[in-house]
Formats: sequence, structure tokens, C-alpha cells
Amino acid sequence: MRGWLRVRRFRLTLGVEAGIAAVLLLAGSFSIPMPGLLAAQGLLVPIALLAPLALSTVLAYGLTAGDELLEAVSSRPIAILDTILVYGMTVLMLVVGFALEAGGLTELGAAAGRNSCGYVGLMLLGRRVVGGQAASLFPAGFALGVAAFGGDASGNPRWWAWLLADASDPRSWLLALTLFAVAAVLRTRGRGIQLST
Amino acid sequence: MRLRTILRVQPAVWLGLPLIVLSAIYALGYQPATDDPYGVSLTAAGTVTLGFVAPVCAALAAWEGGRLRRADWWTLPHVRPLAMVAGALLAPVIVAGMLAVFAAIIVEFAKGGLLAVPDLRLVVLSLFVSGGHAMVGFAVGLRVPVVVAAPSVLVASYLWMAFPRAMEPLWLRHLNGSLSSCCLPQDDLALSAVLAAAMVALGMVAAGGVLIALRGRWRNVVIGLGVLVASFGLAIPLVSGLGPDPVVARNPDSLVCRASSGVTVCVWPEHGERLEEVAGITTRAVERWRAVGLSVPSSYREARVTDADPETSGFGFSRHSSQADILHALAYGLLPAWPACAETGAYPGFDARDPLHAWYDATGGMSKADLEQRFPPSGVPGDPAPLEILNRLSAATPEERADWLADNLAAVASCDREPQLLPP
Repeated sequence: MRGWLRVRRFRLTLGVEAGIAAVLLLAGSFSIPMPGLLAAQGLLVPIALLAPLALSTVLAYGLTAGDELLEAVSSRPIAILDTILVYGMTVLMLVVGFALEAGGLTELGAAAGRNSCGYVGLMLLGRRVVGGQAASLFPAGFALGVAAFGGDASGNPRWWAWLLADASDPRSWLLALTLFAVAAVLRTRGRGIQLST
Repeated sequence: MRLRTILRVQPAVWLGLPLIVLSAIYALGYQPATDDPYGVSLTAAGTVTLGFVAPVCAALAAWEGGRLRRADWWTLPHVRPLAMVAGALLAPVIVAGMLAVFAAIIVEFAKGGLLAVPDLRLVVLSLFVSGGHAMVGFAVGLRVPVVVAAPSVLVASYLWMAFPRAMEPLWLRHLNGSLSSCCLPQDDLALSAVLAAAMVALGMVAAGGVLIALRGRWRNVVIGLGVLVASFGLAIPLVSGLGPDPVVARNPDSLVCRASSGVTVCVWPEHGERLEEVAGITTRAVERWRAVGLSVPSSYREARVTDADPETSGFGFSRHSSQADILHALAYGLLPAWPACAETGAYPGFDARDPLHAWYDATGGMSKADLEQRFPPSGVPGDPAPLEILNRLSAATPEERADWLADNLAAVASCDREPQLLPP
């Protein structure tokens, strides 16, 4: 178990979560104006809402760090353990985000937690579609795609740009959690997602 | 590498087409600095796509580096030199990026109705910027697992291309090579901005090269960062004198001129087809101004002019400008230049600028409808609108009008004089 945690970069993942929390505290609602591709104006993208990309990236890294053959014949239920790790760390980030916002330390904690769920869901879907090595490009590419295409003519996020929506927007939660849930179902059904490709 | 192998294994080849399409779509919706068919401006507008092309190049290059890392190829004995291996892998990535930028430039030229060679300074700079991002991405992909390297360089590169626009000082934005805010017809691309951005891009190439070529866990990172910092150190003095746009005054030698009835009119070649029309408008306006006793210059140029030459006035227009717009621009050129003191302190003469502008418009022959369109009624109670002042002036004697004009011209030229908006 200890070896599995080491291979999955558990400590690094915890460090990344702490780093994201630090970004939430330090960056506040500081935003970058991103150039829009189809909008007259660019979008203001808060750094705090991009920071959870680090979580999906480090989880993707951990999932590809093991020996595929050894894990395939392991007596331990590696797939289940991986699922617990990925979802546990994501829910932890969600809880940390809510806690920081409830404590009045940041305004974007809940939204960052929601984005963690969405990004990790996209990463897991990416593992299914393009394999483990390129999976982390899915959430990063989506985030930049939203920055580029996700603004309407007035510079507000479009309905599908859930990662930039206010935390009070139920649709953004629905979309992000749907990605998270669909990835979970795919992990547990059929062949499941390949653990390390 | 054989073409078949490139097509089989390099994602740059498969992703090149969507990247080109995206770039062209972007260019369709992007508004260049000017509507005029000015090659520098249209090329600059096309290079705005570097904002996402360069990050994609970086991510694709990181993928290529990651392929070598996973195969542990870099540490194995190899016959071909490192530069050749890196070049063979990066060439398709950079070609895909450049094709995407070219697609955007072609779309901009097509929109502007211009058939010409793009500005080579910007094309070469785009090559450097794409190459710099690709080189750094490749080096990171060689050193860091691709699952981390690819998204990291994608986001970092995108932030570098987008973030400086939100930062001050404003000249910082010129360092990343996104010089898309260039240029109005009276401007030219500032060579110092091109050199600075090229220096940073070449610094990225060199830093990536150091990361690739030198062995050692941290030494190469330190040296690479040193190279990058040095490139910034060389580049910053080149742009620190520039404003938000990477422009300098355009060489007036390229103006095309026409003289008639003692009035000389010069316009940029992009407006050459309207020279006759503009000269006619100008000549008629000058005759009218002189008829009411105004002392106006006999030379009108689109180039920037200084107060040092009282016989020359500057103006500007676009190819879509109406005749009234051109007269409005000529009239604006007759107003005294903004005094330097207005940048730092109170400028009471500002209130007289619109009435004076309206006066020159009206005396130059602008119709009432065009005047009403340009000078709407004042929204501030008690604040006289320019057209109300014009009505009062029309009832005044010639001497009173001359006094009003002299008083207000003096007020707008300085910061220590209150304007006399209403004629006696």
C-alpha cells in the first residue's frame, strides 16, 4: 500500500492541493484578460479558477507513473484503489474550496472546487479517449478553449463555459459534476479506463 | 525522417489542419488597427493568432520531447547530432504553426482587399516566436514526464502570450511578440519592438537549447534561466520608451501629393485613389475659411505634423470616411495641439475645443445635418452645446466673431486661461 501511494505520487498530490489552496488565498479574484476568438471582447479569467488544472495534471501523472504490466496482475485491487485516490483527492479539494470560502478567505473557493471536479472528470475522459499520456491535455485544452471561445459579444461567459461561471450558477455545477460522474461510471463499467497507458 | 513516418507519428501533422482553420476563423472576426489596405497593419492583425498558435506549438513540441524521453532515446548513443534530431522533430511543429499564422494573414489581406507581400519583419518574428515556444516545450518534454509537461507548457505559454496585456508598464506587452495593435496608416512598426520580441524569442530558443544540450540536473536549468533573463535584459531597453502600441511615425517620403489652387494635399498610398476627392474637399474648405477671414495653412498632410510648421496641418481619414468625415478631420487639424500641461493638471480650455471644432466645420462648409450628427445637444443643464454657440456666433458681428475665435484659440493652447464660450 505504501509503495502504491508512492508510485501514485500521493505526497506530491497533497502538496499540489496545498499549492492550489495557497493560490486561492493569495490570488483572490485576480483575473487575466484572455483574447477571445469569436467574441468582440476577451474574457476575464480568474487565476484561481485555472489553478485546479494542477490537480488534474498531477493525478494524471500519478496514474501513469506505475508499471502497467505489474499492476494488471496485482493481487491488490489497483483499479479500485486508483478510483478512491482520484475521487478522494478531488472531493478533498472541493471541501477545501468550500471551507476557504465559508471562512471568508476567498470568494472563488467553491467555484475552484467545482472546477476541480470538472477538470478531473475531463482528464479521466481523456484517458479513455486518447490514453494516459495525453489525458492531462483535455482539461488544459478545454480551459484555454473556454478562454478563447467561451465569451459572448459582451464579454460574459457562454452557458457552456462552466469553469468561468459564478459558483451560484446551478448549470455550471450540473455540467462539471456530470463530467465527474460520467468519468466515474466509465471507470467502473465495461473494460473501464486503462490505468496506465 | 521520412515523410510517411512524420505523417504517422507526429501529432503536429494531424492537428495542423484544425489549427489553420481556427486561425482563419479568428482572423475573420478580428478587427485590424485600421480598415485601410495597409500591409503592415494587416500582417500584424494576422500575427495576433500567435496568442494561441505559439502555445499549441509548445505543447506539440513537449509531446515530441516526451516521445524521446519515454524511449530513453536521448541517453542512448546516437549518430546524428542533437540539433539535427531536435530539428527534425520540431520542423513539422513550427511549420504547422507558421501555416496557421499565414492563414490568418491571408484572411486579413483578403478582408482588406490587398494583394501584396506580407510585412517580412512580422513574418520572421512569428517564426522566431513559434520556434522559441516550440524549443522550450521540447526541452521541458525531454526533462519532465509528458503528462505534466504538455499541459504545463500549454498553459504557461498561453499565459505569457495573454498576460502582459493586463500588466503595466504598457510596453511589457511588446516582449512576447504579439504586435497586433500596429498600425494606423500614419504609423510604422517600431523596429525596436520587433528586435526586442525577437531577442526574447531567441532567448527562449537558446534557453531550450541549453536545457537539451547540457547534462546535469539543475546546472542546465540555472544556465537556461540565465540565458532567458539576459535576453530580457537586452530586450527591455529597446521597448521601454514605447507606449501601448509598437509604432513609430511613418516615413513621410511615401506620401502622395497633389497641389491645386495654392493648396497642397498629401495622403498615404493606401488612400491614393481618393487623393483627387480629398484635394477637392480641402481646396473648397480652405477657400471658405479664407473667405471668412481665417488664416489657415496651405499644406495638408496625413502624416503627423508639429506646431513648428504653421503652414502645414495634419489630418487623418480611412477609406470608408465620408466627405463630411474628411472635412471634420481637416477642421480638427486646425485646432492647436494639446498642451503638455493638460497631461498633468487642469485644462480649462478643453471646453472650448468642441465649439472651435464645430466653428471650423461650419465655416468649412459642413451641412447642418452633419453638424448635428457630430455635435449633439449638451446633456448638462446650463452648459452650452457647440451648435448653440454657433447660432449665437452667426448673429454676432465679424469683429465679435474674431475676438471669440482669438480668445478661445488662446485658451485651448494653454492651461492658464478660461475660455469664453459664449460670444458677446
